[in-house]
Amino acid sequence: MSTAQNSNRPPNCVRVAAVGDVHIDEDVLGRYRPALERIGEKADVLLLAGDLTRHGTGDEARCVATEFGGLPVPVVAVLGNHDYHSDAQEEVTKILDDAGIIVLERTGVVLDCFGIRLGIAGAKGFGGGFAGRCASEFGEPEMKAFIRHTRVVSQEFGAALAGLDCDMRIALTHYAPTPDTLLGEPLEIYPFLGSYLLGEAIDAVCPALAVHGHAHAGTERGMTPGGVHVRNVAHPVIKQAYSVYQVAVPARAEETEKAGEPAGV
Amino acid sequence: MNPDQYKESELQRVLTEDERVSEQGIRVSHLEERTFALSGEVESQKRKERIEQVVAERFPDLTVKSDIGVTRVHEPEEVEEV
Repeated sequence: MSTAQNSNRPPNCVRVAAVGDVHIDEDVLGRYRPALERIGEKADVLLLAGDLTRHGTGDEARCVATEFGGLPVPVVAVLGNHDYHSDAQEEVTKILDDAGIIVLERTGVVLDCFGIRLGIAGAKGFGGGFAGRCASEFGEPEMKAFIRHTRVVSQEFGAALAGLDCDMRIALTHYAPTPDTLLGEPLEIYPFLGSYLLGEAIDAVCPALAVHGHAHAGTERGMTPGGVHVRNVAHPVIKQAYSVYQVAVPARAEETEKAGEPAGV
Repeated sequence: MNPDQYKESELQRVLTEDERVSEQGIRVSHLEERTFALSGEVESQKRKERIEQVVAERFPDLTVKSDIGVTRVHEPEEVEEV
């Protein structure tokens, strides 16, 4: 898949637009569209970081498809916890797919951005908490299932991220991979907002950027313990239709390309 | 725990679990006896009004002050180099 022409983009860079937690329903339909009309001039790709709907129904997904479909740049999404509420996540995914929106769940996609192979791996992720204050896979079946889900999702998400054959990687989740971007949220709910297991999966591959949503009262900028830039793009955090991040191709990928070798991390 | 703290927890759950609201980003603060404040942002004026209506209906014995806003959706003017 190729991106649309964007005359403003500098060489060896990709401009990534991103927003999460848009919670689209009929009452919001058309609200984002004016700000999206010129997105092709500002960005090469749009990432949607989950919670696209309010209750995860097919009708709400059709509203998302109307609002974010047919744009001049590829749209890549993950679902969030709201999108699972009606147990219709497969229907939601199909409706978005049919509208040309790429939905990732422990999978990846490689886009051609003017010769730069941009690899994006995505997953909803899940909670569990962070270093020193995390839950364990122990005790009642419900507790074990909770953390097992996070562990399995993180492992499969990490494998999808590592498996991308590309020049630049981006990690896309709904739940947070670091506590940095939760600053502003009550400490007591951190275990419901993300997991260090997601951060660990990201740090194993060191993508150029990690993007997430979910934490409405959090902070936009942070890092994983391994130094990967993380951006919380929950709509109430960024307070605009989307944010744009200009990400340079990692030097190592450029060097390996020059040497005629396949790029990788 | 005093009864107001139970009410605060109940309010928080209603904001998420009442299907007419389904918001997880609204914060409930206890101001004084039987008085609470709601803060945070939602996607439309209709949702803000619906929250206020549902809370008034479910908690007629409480005073609940709303400071909920609607998140802006303007085009970004700046690009961040990462």
